[in-house]
Amino acid sequence: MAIDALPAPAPMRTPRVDRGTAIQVLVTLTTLALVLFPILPVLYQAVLDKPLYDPAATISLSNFARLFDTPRLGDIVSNTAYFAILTTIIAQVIGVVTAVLVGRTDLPGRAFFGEMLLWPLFLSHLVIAFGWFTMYGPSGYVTLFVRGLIGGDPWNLYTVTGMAIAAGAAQAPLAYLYCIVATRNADPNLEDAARTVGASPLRILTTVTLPLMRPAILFGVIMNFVIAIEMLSIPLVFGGPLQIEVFTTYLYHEVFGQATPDYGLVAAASVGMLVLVVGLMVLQGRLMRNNQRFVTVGGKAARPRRFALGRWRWAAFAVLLAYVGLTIVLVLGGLVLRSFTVILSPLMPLWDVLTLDNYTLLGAYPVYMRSIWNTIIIATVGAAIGTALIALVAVVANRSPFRWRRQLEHLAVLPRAIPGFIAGIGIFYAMGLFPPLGWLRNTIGLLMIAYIMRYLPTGYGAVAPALAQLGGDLDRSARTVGADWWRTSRSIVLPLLTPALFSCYALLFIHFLKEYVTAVFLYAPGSEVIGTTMLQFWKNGDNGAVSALASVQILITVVFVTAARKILGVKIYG
Amino acid sequence: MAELIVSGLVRAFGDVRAVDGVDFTVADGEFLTLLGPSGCGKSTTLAAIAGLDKPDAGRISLGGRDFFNATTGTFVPPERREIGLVFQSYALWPHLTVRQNLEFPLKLRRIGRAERARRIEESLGLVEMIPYADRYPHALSGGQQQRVALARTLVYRPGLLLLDEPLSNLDAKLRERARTWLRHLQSQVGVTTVYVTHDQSEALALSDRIAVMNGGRIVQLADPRTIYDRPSDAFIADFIGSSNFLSGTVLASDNGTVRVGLGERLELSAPSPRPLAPGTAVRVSVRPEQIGVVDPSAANGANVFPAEILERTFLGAHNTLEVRAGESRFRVECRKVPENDHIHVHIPESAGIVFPQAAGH
Repeated sequence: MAIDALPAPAPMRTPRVDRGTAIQVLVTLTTLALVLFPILPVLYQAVLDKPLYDPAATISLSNFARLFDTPRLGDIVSNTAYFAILTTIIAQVIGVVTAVLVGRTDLPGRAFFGEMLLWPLFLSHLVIAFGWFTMYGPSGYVTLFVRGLIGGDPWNLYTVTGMAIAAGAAQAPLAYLYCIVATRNADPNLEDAARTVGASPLRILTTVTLPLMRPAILFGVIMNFVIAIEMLSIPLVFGGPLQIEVFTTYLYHEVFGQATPDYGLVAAASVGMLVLVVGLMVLQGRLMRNNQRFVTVGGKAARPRRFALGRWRWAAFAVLLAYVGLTIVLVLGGLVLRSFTVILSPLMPLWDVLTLDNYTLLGAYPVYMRSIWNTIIIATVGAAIGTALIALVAVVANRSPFRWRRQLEHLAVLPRAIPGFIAGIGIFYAMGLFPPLGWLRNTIGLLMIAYIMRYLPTGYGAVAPALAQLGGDLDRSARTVGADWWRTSRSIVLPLLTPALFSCYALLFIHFLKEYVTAVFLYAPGSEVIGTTMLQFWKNGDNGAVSALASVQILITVVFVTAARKILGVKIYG
Repeated sequence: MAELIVSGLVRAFGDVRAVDGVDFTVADGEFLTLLGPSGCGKSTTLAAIAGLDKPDAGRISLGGRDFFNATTGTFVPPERREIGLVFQSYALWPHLTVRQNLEFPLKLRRIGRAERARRIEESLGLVEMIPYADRYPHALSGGQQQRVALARTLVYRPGLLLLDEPLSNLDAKLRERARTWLRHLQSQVGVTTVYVTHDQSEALALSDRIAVMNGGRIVQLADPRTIYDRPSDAFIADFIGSSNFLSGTVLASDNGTVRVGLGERLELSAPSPRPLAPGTAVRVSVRPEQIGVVDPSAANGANVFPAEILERTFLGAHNTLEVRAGESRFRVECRKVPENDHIHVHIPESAGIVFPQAAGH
């Protein structure tokens, strides 16, 4: 053949540790440090009788004894349980019904509803809580309007049931999301088979369709239960005035309500919550293990047939429209409207109260503008750093010969079991435990670290499935033509993952934008974010400014989500 | 020179020995095929040669350089072996054009821009794909992708070419064309080649030598003609081509030929590589195309039996007859279908191969 022999391959050094192994070790150690950073201090503080920065502290179990002696502990536990259970039931029922209606029936306006139902997922619970407060609170717009009609208080949001309704509506989109994905992946042949043996559509729905959605429903139940247990915003906003305490608000008040917070007690309570959440996650893993029974194979391009609603079509449409109108459009629209008024009330004509003062106020005080900029910087930069780390973790865990790669994957999804609240407390303690890290204190860098740790599993969940879709021959062939592991990852695997990495970035951006629970313990003058500032000014009764800040957050979210979809072609949630 | 030596290769997955002591040598420029049913260990052997999988024992060397040696603990990672592997899935990188796919291995070797362009041109020319250089893989047909995959491995002139069922994703017509083309190309380039397939006709058509594998071992290693005509055991006779197996008992053994009794009345003479004691239960393999339908006038000749046609199947180029002779049933291939159901068949003495019953399955 005419081709000359190539020059001998460049002399290859044989270093003791090649760069591939070095990178794999580095990524794993980084992840390990990130995940242990908040957990270890909490565990340590829980068994210390004095604050962990106090040299006189000794190991003891007295914190747990004090925890069990807490007055009203019974009330707190029963409130939390009732709130979490009711929230989960409401969220799941709404989620499953809407998913079946949108995903599996000939409901009019399905595309519109499909889009609207997801929107609350993009927004922080704090924004949603203020929205409900503005419209349905004791002096909310809708409350006053209905009171004017019937002459009495129509409802009371300041009860555990009231909180659970608001929280259930806020969490329904998550249940909807899991179920709608399940309905899309259903194999139409299974339903056709039921039809050929003579089952009616309703019968098929109850005996085939819903049982096949069982894994998605179960998954949603546990996710929503965990989220309800760790939810701070809604119980804080609605429970505060009447001092209805759940676990998170109890911890919050323990830390912020006292001149000198009881470190040990808070840590012991956090450990209790951690154990509960880890237990639930383990339970979820167990329940999902036998899923093979529900995996539907085949049915490649075929979409499941839609059930005909017949004469119920428009009735279902009206109910869904009312639901979306009352819980999404009114809640968010009312909040935005509130930001343009002095006071929002049906008793006053709207044009008399219109004002831009709330926004002028945002510009006038540096803390407002600073929290907006901090939030944007954390979301933009933090999501980029997070995506880079997640990409490396995914490649090492799935596409490397690294010895501990499986353990790395477990580590990366572990933060799913660490409530944001506890991550915040843990990092707060860590700053006391490791004085050399003091320079991080009071910077948004600390918040970024906390957020990246917390949303590691979320991003990993967006990248790992895409990586699994990528045939292993693509990297093996790169290895045989002469690329080492790192060159293969850099030139072949990661470029092919680009769409998934964009999705990961978008997800992290949205979560970082709306996150506030983790920041509550970590922010300081100079590192405020929108969420913490909203809480601060809500406590002062500055509702106009709070609604303006919330509106700014909504605006940033809408702009980002639209741009990410249009420009990057990113799929966020489905 | 680039001579590949594999010796004592073992690879176990748990309790299963996927490769169980494999030895072979491929001479410089030779085309050797690893042939066997799925799970026979051929792909594991190939992965071990490529360095994609680490064996448990044995030694692999190319041109005197150890790739793997269990006793010295040597294991060269795939990227330092300077070999080319064409995957069954082709594994073209979808985010790169054909040209960029070929360019990647050259960039890794720090070849200059002008030299890269020349080599890519040459390689693509060899597989007749120059007009497609700027296309992305998804815009190519399966046959074209296969050619590009081959060009990508040839562009950096590997010392050893490994092919893992590269034709199995092509349709039947294309596969035959690609086969001829591949053989031509290999002899032109003269690269030492190891080819893995489960398709016996590919193996027969392409190879200088074939290593038939079963249960993690090589059961026969010979040139295609020998493998077909003189399979060393019943498994190979069954796996390569199609064979009838007639059960019988040895009546007498003499000078490399045995007389086998098939049922009560029929007797068959056939060569046997080893002497067999009378009374040994045996199976005689006979290929359907070697059995002849003969005129009744030859009825009394040796190895001629009266038979009854049970079924006739038309297959285009020839016909298959399902026949019964005594207690034996077998298939016969013929061009012209006899009209009468009662015929006489002749099994030439050289056509049958006798295997002791225990050696079969």
